[in-house]
Amino acid sequence: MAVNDGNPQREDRDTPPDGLERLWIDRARTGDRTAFEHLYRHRVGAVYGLCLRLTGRPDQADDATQEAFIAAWRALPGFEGRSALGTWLHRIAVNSVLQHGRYRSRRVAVSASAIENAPDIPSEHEPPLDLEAAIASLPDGARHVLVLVGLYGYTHGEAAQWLGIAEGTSKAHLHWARQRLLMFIERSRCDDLP
Amino acid sequence: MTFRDNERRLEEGLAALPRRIHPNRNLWSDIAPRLERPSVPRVEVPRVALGMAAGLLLGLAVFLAAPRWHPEPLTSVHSSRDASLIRTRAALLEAYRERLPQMDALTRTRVQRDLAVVRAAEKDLGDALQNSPNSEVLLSLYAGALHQEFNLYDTVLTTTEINSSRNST
Repeated sequence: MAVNDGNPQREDRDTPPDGLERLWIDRARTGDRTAFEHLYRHRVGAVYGLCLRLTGRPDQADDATQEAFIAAWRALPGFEGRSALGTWLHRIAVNSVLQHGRYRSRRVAVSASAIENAPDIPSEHEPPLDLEAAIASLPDGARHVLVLVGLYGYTHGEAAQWLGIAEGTSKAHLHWARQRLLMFIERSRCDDLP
Repeated sequence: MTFRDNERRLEEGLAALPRRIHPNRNLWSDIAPRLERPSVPRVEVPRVALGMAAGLLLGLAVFLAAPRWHPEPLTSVHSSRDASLIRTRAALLEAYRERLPQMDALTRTRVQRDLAVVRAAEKDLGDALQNSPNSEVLLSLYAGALHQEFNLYDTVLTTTEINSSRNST
């Protein structure tokens, strides 16, 4: 799966904490809330983005993001900095979504305003919102794997571990999700024909 | 349009989706009030001992707050609390000695030096109280010194607990 090869977001995710962020982490570990707020401001976009894609609902993403940062605050003494902070936070966010995952009601499409507020994507690369809706409409398991592996570039091993499923199940979910999205694209193309 | 074209469109569409999305409202205002100090796993025995120590210090504080209602001299206060205090301090000291070697040499030296200062203060205050057993000031200082001693043990136990939990992850 080469969906994210060359994706700048992947590079950002894997970058180890820089000096300033390292300082914030060290201070936050001692109970410094201001330092933790700096970390939050710096990373909330990455965490909320993942939560929004995993849940498909802005209200659920709000809750999951809050829980993720509270969990991160509690777990901070155990963070050694060997893994990338972004990956560490994403893992906590996935757990938060799963823990919080009583979102069994039908989910709605990702809010257009949230996408419009995304700061890091140049406007010429603005994705069609119908793909967002197609992803949000996938069943939980397929969507979770597609988001983690297909969008954020995690391995099937990582996704399987975080989601508590077998690696083979992760691959099956991704295959199924991609087939659904391809069908969606084909249908959209036919609808666009005169 | 072929299947490969659709696959390419899918790849491009997924690659173009924003990974970072900022929430529409300020979540920090809901997060901040829920942040307590980072939780640190503790060892059961020292926690119990520290609880006992806190109880003993509270008893001493009550005594200090109401000296006229309990006019007995320090020696009698000690005699009624000595056994418990000695047991508590012994438990803490044992845990402290067990954990101290886990600290780096510089920190260890600093801790030992601080403990020596606190112990010397306790001894001086204890001697002074032999002469003025009902002095509120001396009793207050003595309680403060004991508190510092227990806090020092707590610091060592807490710090080494953090390190050992980090190493185990």
